[in-house]
Amino acid sequence: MALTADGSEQKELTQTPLLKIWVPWMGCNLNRRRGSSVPQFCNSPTMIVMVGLPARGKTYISKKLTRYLNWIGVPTKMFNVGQYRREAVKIYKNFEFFKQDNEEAMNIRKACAAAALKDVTAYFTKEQGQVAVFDATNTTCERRAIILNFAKEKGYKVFFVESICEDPEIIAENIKQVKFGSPDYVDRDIEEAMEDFVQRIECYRASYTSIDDDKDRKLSYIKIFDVGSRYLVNQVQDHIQSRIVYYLMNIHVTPRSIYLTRHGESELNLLGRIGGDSGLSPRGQKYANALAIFIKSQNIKDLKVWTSHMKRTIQTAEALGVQYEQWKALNEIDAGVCEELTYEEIQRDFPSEFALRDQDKYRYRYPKGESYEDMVHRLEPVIMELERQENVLVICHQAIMRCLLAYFLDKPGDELPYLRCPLHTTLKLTPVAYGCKVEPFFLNIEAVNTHRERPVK
Amino acid sequence: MPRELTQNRIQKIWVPTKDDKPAAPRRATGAPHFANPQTVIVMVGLPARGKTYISKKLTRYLNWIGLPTKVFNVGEYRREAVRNYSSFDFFKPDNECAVKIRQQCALAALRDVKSYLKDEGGHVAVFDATNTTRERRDMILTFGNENGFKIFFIESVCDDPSVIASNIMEVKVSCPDYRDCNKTDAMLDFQRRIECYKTSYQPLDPDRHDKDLSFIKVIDVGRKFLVNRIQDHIQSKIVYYLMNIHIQPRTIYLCRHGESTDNLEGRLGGDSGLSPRGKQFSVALARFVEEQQQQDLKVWTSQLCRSIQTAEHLGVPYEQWKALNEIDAGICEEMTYDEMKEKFPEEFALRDEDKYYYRYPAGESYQDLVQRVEPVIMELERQANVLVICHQAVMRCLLAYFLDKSADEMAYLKCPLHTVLKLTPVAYGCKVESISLNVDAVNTHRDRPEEVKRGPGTLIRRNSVTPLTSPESIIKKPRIDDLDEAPIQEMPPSVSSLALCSPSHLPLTLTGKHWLGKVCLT
Repeated sequence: MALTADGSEQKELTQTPLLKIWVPWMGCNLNRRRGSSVPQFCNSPTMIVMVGLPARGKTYISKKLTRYLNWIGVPTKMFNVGQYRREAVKIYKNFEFFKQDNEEAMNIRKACAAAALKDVTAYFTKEQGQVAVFDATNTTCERRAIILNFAKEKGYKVFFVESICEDPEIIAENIKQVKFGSPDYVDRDIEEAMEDFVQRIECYRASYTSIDDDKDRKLSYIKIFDVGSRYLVNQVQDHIQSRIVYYLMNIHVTPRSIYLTRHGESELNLLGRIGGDSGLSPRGQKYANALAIFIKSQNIKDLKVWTSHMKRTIQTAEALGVQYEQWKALNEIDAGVCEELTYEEIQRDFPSEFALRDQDKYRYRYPKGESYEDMVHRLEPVIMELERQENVLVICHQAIMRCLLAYFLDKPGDELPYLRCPLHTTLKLTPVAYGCKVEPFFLNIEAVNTHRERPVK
Repeated sequence: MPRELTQNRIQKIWVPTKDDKPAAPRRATGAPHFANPQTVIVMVGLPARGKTYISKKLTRYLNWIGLPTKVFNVGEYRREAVRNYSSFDFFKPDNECAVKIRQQCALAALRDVKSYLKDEGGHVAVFDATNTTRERRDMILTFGNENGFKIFFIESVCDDPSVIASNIMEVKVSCPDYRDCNKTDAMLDFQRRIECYKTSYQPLDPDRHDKDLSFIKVIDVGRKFLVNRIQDHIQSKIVYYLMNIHIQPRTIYLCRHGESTDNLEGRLGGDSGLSPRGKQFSVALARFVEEQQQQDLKVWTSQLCRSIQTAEHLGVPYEQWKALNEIDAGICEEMTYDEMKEKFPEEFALRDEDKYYYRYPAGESYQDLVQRVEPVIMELERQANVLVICHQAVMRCLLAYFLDKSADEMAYLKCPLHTVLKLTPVAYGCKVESISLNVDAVNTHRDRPEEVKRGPGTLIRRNSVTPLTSPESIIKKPRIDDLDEAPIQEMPPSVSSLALCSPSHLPLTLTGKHWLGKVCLT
């Protein structure tokens, strides 16, 4: 028996059945070991604290960032103090609520912030959260000091994200996009709402102190100027803050559309076989032609077309007659030993694997292959570049498309592997307000159905 | 009619067939190259602010991820033009003769930048000089406009005297300018040199004068950054990289897992466990790590059994990265080289032809590996002391990054089993110590075969004259002395694993004489 450095018996390793991660044999502790394709670099929980006048995009950034962090596997939750205020004060009358001298309102607002902080603690301690996004104006030194003290006491890291913008057009557009639809203005007409909101902003302006580059030099923060034309980044402490900064510097708000589609039906699809690298079936080729016509009809400006390295996506792109870029990262999930088998064959030859996959489809890793979770990490650079780009058509594969769709539609790991992405259907995604509008376009070419429902427990 | 597709034989990339012949292989990468417009990165800052350090490091990174990049250090041009540096007087703003020479050097460097980007397949040029006046920067902007190059400024601002003094000690006192001086004199002279620049220094002004330029201001060695108007993908990546690097002293240890049972049989890939000797190595590694007494050592492994088993012996927490898994040999997984040669003779031959770009059928290439491993490099840059227990091909990728090895050399770097490479950043490069832990193991290294013919365009050498675009287009290449299209002579392995510098030569005309300016890449 081999001995380890300290003379104890050397531990044997076993591979966890679901994730296929090698761990020391720990008997019954086996199932609790959570591995993933990338190390989790979060040690202390982190609070991201938004700063800025109303209508500067704080909630937009908060939601988007939260969506991104959850997608890459960092449990994140947003705490919008405005929501707490709406709970406390059922009916919003007018901007006077926000006046500096309105003592009663001030007390309510302070209490709401405190309640939100309490929930942050609960999220970290009871729900295994790692990042909390504290979405409020936080425009005074005083308020920020309260948050810093709170975090210090609890051992949380703090990273400020300040959005600074004085372009009246952008602000007006923000107000139109998200404020008119807010519960606060549900019974007002547009002019009235705009007038009131502008006054609301003025209430904050007098007491607004931007993060001070000198006095606050020890704080970790990013200042975003004019929707990303400039950034000031100070004291990035760790991996997650670095990723957040990189993400924030790549997103933009220019209107655009992202089209997601799978390759046309392939030869292996027809045979009910998974994976492989086959070419298009005749119907698949028809789809490719129909796609070309569809895309032309959409009249898209400067469309970029991306495919994987697999023949079936490239053949589909070829029909478009435009330039396309190939990404290996867009390749279909690697089914390892199950490549090119039918589901029946998998069930027959690898019954335990088949069962495990149905147990936790997101984390399940094919032997010598990948899991959905692995794919998400593989796709991250694609998402980052999609954020940078404008109009893009992505021709990919079922599992890949599910991962991408889950990112755009904020679907958790649990739902991701069961999202419907049928062949011969293009999804058009258009960012709107805080989310994403989805329009499906079935191009009227029949194809096999490759979707497997979540098994009933 | 849809175009027929063929899979090019080396990279296994599907491309449209031209007529009946397969299209000439494109050196496409796993990810599209978004840096289509060529970029000139322009350093800005007083002397001893880390401009050359940043230039070299950034160049090394961009080349490693597959973007041909080269540094043009105006100081080198000046040293060629003015053979003997006398004193800081040369840099006095009123020294008319010197000012003229320095101007000429900058222009010569820009000419070479143009040539590199337009004629030599370069993608990014790093213009390393102080560029502290608006006048100089305007000239560069005009140059960029005229030639269709994007311009991105990197300004390093630092007023911490201890950092500056430390920089001067680390790289200036030993520089050729001061070869005949003692350290104190050199330090003094250099500080007066800095003063010469200070009066005319106009920092980038994001609020008014320079608000439309694309740049990043690095303040106090990365404590703070001001980023203005990032235009595209490559600028975004550069900014991300700069924000992750640091200059704290630290050590990176690279090693492979202990010898595995598959290794013993000469099998590729797979997921086998350690052989008895492999276990011995793990024990020896644990001892070694303890002796090294590194503060807060992080240990990283892949998700393959053999690397984790190795880490288990250390008795410390370790992190598993799937990205550190060995290269996927696709259909050749778990075969021996002989079996591969027998079953897939054509694949076997193709691999030897171009090992960097060669992708195993249903597997990966070294080029794919680089892309896969990039997040690991980024995190390594962020970290301090790290031990990475990985695999042969992966270790070659990582090593090539740290030692600035070209794609061509990468696949043949020697990374034997049971040997730890200790990397310590020093000056502009990396010191490497190879430490064998004295446990025998099989040799898994295959040398570049002698009989492999190297045709033009099959090998991409970084900072070389071979263009990266497809061989279909005829690009007029400048005739350069002895570098015509002959392959660079391969350096003997012992040197190649320790060499820090790969010089390249470019002709320059200055004062009518034909001479070579060495642009050092470390």
